[in-house]
Order: sequence, then C-alpha cells, then structure tokens
Amino acid sequence: MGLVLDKAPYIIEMMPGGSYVVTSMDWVINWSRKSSLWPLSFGLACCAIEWMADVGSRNDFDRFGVFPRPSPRQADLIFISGTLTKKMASRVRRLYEQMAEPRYVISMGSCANSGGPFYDSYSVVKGVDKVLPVDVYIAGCPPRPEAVLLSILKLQEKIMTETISHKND
Amino acid sequence: MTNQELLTKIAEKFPAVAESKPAAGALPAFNLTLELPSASIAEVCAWLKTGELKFDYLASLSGVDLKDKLQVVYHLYSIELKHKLILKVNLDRLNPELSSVNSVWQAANWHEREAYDMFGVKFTGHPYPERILTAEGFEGYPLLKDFIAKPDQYD
Repeated sequence: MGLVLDKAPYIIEMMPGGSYVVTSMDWVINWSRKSSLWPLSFGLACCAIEWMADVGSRNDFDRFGVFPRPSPRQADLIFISGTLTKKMASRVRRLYEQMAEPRYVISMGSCANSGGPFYDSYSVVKGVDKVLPVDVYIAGCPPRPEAVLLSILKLQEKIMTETISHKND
Repeated sequence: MTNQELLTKIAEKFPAVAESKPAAGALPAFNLTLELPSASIAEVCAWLKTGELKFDYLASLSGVDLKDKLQVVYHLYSIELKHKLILKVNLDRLNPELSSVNSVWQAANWHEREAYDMFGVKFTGHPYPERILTAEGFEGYPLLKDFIAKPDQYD
C-alpha cells in the first residue's frame, strides 16, 4: 500500500461532495508493466556471469520484480549479455521475435554496445542495435551488478513515460 | 620413454621423419618435435596409435600460417605410457591438402574441420568436410595472414 499512497496524487482525484479513485489507464498499465519485468534467462558471454550475480541473493533484482523466465513467450525483457557473433545474430533476432509485446532490450557491456574489443574482428556484430531496437545501454566490461540494477531502474523510468497508443523507441 | 628413445624407434620405422629444429632464437621444444612429409601422415599416425608407442590420444590438431607455407601441428599423448610427441607437416600455401586422421583418432573430426575453416586446409577422407565455426555463407579463411574481412550487414 505504501507505493499506492506515495503515488496518490496520480490516482486519486477529489470530487465535489466527496472523493473517489480515478485511475489513469496509462499510469496503471505502465506501473504494472514496470513492476514485473520478466527477462529471458539467456546469456551470451562473460557478461552473463555478471548478470547471474544479479539474479543471486546479494543483488537480487527480484526486488524490482525482475524474475528470469525460461521461455521467450513469457519474457518481457531480453538482456544481450555479451559478445554477439554474426552467426548468433539471426538466432538472437528469432528469440526477440518470439517474445510477446511489449518487449524491451537492454544491451549489456561493451561488446553488446559496439563490438567492444572485438570491433575489428571478422565474426562479431558491431553493436546489438544493428539487430534489435535497444532501450537501455549499460557501459562496462563487464558492468558491475549495480549498473545492471540501474539499467532496470532506467528502463522503468522509460516505461512510465509510455502511453497506450505510443511506445517510446 | 625419453625423447631420444622415441626418436630412435620412429626413425627406425620411418626414415623420412626428421627432428624439427627450433627457429633461430627460439627456445628448444620440451617435447620431441618431428617434421614429416605430408604424404606419409596417415600411415605414420596409424602406426603411432596401434604400434608399440601407443599414442592413443590426439590432444590437439591445429593450423599455422607461416606466410611462405602452411603447417598442421599434431599434439599426441599416450595415456598408458605417458609420453608426448609433436608432429608438424608443411603444406603448400596455394593447395593445402592432407589426408584426414579421423579414422585413427575420432578427436580429429572437429579439429580438422576447424583447421579447414580457419586456414583452408583440405583433409581428404574426412567424413564431413564442412566449416565448423564461422557463420553460414562465410567466405575466405580468417586466420590466414592475408585475409581481409569483407564488411556485411552487421559491420
């Protein structure tokens, strides 16, 4: 209830002769979306190990409603955690297309952002944004678990600015 | 078995096999390193495995680009007798072709496919001589010194 009371100005409107709750559809939908971002249990390289640290009890991103799912059909969010090779690119694209909308992408670490140390390689995609529309980028090689938590908070902020008719890109 | 004993036994059976001298300035190899003509590789490997030396384990099969020639390097180990051996085969850079040792050691299967993928070495007699690591439709052999990557939609 604490959260609802904090946000009371958004959802309660005083009416003449008394008060009743008027909810903004956008606010409620965005709030429920951001509060249960289920990422795909999916990893590409060493960043995935750091990502697993976020699943674990010390960092525990379940506090933000982030709870890994084993199937893309049940996932809202995909972390591209590591080096994306050209051979893997079409497979990642397929995983993304199997996710139900609304779906979000977080690019984790230097390799996913730009190819990183493998920029001159013959086999690495120079940034996952060549394949998927990325919502949040995390810097680092690998990013600290705290940076991954921050990326979730940033994505939640972004989700709160959406409307029913328009998703931010 | 010491390196000298190994060398004596192998040289008795195959006189064409010669000890590989380290390059100028390089440290001498710890294990016995032999160079042999490419035509004899299948015969020598079959004997090394089934003969008295019992090299039953192919630890590694890799390619090297030495600019003027290509080289395939075999690292062998005998689990029973606990001795090691390195074989080197020099190949023509323009037409690198070599018999497969897949029928001797199953481990050679993927290693030979990788050497083909990265260096273009063709292993005759391999059961599935296809690329193993690079993406579908990849052109060229990326670990050759003169390889230049062709940009695609991911670059």
